[in-house]
Amino acid sequence: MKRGRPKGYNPYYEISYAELGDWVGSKAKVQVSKKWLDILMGNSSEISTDNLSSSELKKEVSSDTPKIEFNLTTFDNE
Amino acid sequence: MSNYFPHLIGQDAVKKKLSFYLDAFEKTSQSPFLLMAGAKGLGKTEFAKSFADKLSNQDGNKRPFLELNCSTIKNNEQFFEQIFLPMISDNEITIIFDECHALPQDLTMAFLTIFNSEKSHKKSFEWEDMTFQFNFRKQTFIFATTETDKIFPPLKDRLTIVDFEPYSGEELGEIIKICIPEIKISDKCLPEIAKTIRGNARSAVKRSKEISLYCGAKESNNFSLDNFKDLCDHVGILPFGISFTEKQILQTLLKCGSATLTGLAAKIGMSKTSLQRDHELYLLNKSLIEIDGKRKITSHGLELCKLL
Repeated sequence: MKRGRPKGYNPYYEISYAELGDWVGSKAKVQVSKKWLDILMGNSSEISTDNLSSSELKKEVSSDTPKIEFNLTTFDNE
Repeated sequence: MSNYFPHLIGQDAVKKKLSFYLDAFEKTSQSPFLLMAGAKGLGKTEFAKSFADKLSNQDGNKRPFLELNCSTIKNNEQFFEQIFLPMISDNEITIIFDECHALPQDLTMAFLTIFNSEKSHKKSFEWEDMTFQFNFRKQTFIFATTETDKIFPPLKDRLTIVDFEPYSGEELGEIIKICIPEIKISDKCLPEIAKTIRGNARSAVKRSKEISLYCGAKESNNFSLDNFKDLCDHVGILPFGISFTEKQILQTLLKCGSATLTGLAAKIGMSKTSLQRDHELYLLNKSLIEIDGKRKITSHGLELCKLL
């Protein structure tokens, strides 16, 4: 029996807020990232849902991932 | 053949090999995927950095050098998002994956595809609906580790191994002299200092800093054998550079005659793995103990115990 995700599988689907509303209605509860919601509520003047693209949302969700340690050296050109 | 590393001491075989690849790079703009392998403090990163310093871009400028600590890489997504896309993709750069035995499993699998040897200098890697382009004329990849046995064998097969060897006493003396040129170390003293450095270049650099501090405190630019004995007494440098745990091992074996690994670990109060890897190997290397079923102190070890 095959296990695991097939190649190219993505568990997320992009859908507009309006289209989602058509399916579940405006009072339906949906799960969102706490951090993203805090940013929205705390700095609503800076960030609005209209200009937050799906890629930015994904970036926000993945901002919790630890940073890779690196050191970049640029050598002097003689 | 050119020697591109006259400023670095020792490691003649490494210098020869890397110089050959640098000569080849000048003509082909390509280098094999190198794996710097050897114990800690032998200069793997230093040589990799010096190698990278000699690699030029197509416009003749020097390439930047990116050092990555593999133990902080958790998965493919993190690597491609944080490192590949912003710093590697489309750029001319040299990358070293330090402690590469700690690469995560999914990135190791990705590297099997990426570093699969083919004639083309370009490689596309597809992952989660995205395509990442590698150009080995623009990007030079180097790996380094102290533990080659922990690298997934198919990945190791794709890499060209550059082996580092311990430094001789003379080479360690040279390293110390280069680090503190302003201090005059007596001819009798230098070999005695080298004996306490355990064949390790990084330890030589550390020891030279201690000597520099000692001379600074004494307001003198001369360092004699008596000064070294005084320094050893102050900072706890033991003969052959053995650690206090190793001293404890020798004294335990002297007391009880012989011991099994488990028995010795229990007496010293540390794990069997650490005892074997971090201490026993050095004592065996210096013929201070022997293992014949059980651990025993040698006559050489007995002499050292009297000094301690």
